[in-house]
Amino acid sequence: MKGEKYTRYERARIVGARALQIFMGAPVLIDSKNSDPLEIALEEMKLGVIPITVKRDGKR
Amino acid sequence: MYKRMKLEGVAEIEPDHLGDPLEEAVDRSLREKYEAVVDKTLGIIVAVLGADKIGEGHILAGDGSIYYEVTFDALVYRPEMQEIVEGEVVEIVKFGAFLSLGPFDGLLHVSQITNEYISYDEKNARLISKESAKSLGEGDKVRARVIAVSLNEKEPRESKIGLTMRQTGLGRLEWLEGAQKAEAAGTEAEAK
Repeated sequence: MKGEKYTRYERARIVGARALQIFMGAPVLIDSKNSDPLEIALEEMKLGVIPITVKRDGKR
Repeated sequence: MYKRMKLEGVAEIEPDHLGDPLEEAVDRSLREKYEAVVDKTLGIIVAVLGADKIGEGHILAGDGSIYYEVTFDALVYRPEMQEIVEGEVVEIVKFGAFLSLGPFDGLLHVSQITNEYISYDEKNARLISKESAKSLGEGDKVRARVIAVSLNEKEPRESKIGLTMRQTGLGRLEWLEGAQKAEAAGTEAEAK
């Protein structure tokens, strides 16, 4: 996981939360051809534009 | 007594409002959640005046909304024991009169209106005292004292506030004026 910001678990949680937001009507932050909320969330994750951070306790 | 207070609460922002300016969305959410809420110690929250400090947002599992911890200013009203209130009679019933205090109505029981015996005139919806023929009807302005407060959090309409007017300085405003004039006339006569 060197150089990566989030663990795969955190990524899954973020994408999941973001997909749910989009599904429930939140504004999409990118231009996307996709219409599936999950696909859009994944794309946003790749571009790093999701306004969600992870609060960790202790060190990773 | 009305008070302006700083309160802590949680504002829920639904996903379809995530695009709105944060402060606006938080204010709307707070108003929806807290206005007209009755709390036993605070009283009734009459109005949310605006968010003061908006903390971090939290995302909960399985829920698309974001929850912000917020401190906000609010206008709160709570009838205090022994507080003097002025209000208008909004309804006359056979056991007394209901007085509008603004956010709440208070009950003025027949036994607490004057020291005299009070009878109920059903036709005219008035309460009339036996000896001095003082009368009380809908729309009359009166001054009273709060002697019982029982707020109901679940059913704000079921909140009960008891009032009394059996004391000098309290009563229908017209009676008070009359009493004042009589007193002034009395001292004048004495001076002569």
